[in-house]
Amino acid sequence: MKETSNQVSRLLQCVKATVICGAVLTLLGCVTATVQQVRERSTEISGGETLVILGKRSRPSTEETEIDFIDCVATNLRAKKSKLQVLNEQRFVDQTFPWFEPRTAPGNMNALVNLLDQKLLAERLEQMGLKYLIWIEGQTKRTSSGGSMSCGITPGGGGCFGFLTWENDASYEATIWDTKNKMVAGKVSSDAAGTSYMPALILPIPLVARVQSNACFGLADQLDTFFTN
Amino acid sequence: MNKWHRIKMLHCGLMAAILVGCASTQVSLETDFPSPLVERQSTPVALIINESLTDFVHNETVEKGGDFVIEVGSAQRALFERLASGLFSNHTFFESIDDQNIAALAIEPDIRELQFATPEQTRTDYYEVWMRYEFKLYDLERNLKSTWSIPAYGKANKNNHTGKRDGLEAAALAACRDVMAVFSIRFSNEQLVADWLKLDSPVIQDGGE
Repeated sequence: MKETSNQVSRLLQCVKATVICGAVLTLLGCVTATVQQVRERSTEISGGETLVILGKRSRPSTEETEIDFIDCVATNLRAKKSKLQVLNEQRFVDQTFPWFEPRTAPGNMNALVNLLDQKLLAERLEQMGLKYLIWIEGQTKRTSSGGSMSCGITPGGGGCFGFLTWENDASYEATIWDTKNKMVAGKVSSDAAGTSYMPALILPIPLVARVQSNACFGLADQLDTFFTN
Repeated sequence: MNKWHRIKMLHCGLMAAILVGCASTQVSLETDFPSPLVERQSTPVALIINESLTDFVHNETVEKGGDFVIEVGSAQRALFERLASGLFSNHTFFESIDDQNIAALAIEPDIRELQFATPEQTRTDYYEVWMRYEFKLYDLERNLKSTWSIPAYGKANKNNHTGKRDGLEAAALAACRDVMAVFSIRFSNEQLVADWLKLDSPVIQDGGE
């Protein structure tokens, strides 16, 4: 009986510790996010029309947008109330191969207009019901870091001691191309910055600022507003 | 657990870590490719997929980076089957240019060179793979008429992949897709290819019976 009550009290302690850790994580993982929008044309998307979000990987640019960021924006946009039909990036690139590969992808609206002269490609895009093509550029970068931590292991056990801190900056821009009217419809940008911490007293506890996720949610929200308002 | 047991386990752990650290990075491409969305060529073509292409393996030892084994040959049959299905309406596969059944203009692809770089070497975020393909173009009598060389390049962001194997696999796959893209788009515009395609319908001299 006594053993059971001990187990319950241990469990409660664990729950308490988890709640405290969660609260600390929420408090310390702060992120500042900014979203901006420039509209050049009115937009309208009806049932049966689709859009695709592509990461800009054309050359000679040496920077690529993270694949999971593109997935995150597409998934969040699909989950919105407006139920926009967002095509899967890899499936779109495969179905239009070889016209959206890094070497061949159109770098601007004029290049896309020229590309649509390809009868087979134009037909394929029509079959897909593609109305908007959204190019995402940008990355999440570590802008600064500091602190130190040392870890050791002995036959008697191990542990870490120290404190690390780092700041991440996420900056993304989405350019929206209207493939039916062959014009740029507008741009949406999402920036986020945040500092993460990792104190260690035997066990390191990462308090991570979810910078990229915040930039993703901000961009998805703003893109939804762009198409529905 | 006594002290000696702990020391033994620590030793085992360290040895395992050292062995893992020394192991080679083995990359094998076994994937499917998309079919190119281009106007099909009506000229009958024979594609020679020989063993030197399908068995192509690049071995390299990088200083402080370990051994690398990149097997791109395993993906070549799938690559050229997909490429041919999109680009040629009438094509046949053969394993050697010496096959007596070849009755069409023949193309024999080969990988002449492969180079790669890891983020540790270039101090960038990218795994990179360069390949140089060579396409031997044969006439109806299986005489070599010309050689078309295509450089291919692929890169993969280390942040999108877990470890060297995944990163190099993605970069090699991107390079394979690159050669497919170049081949399918330039095939109808390349002068060398246009001259070769003319060999399928020799000009009949006036007065010739």
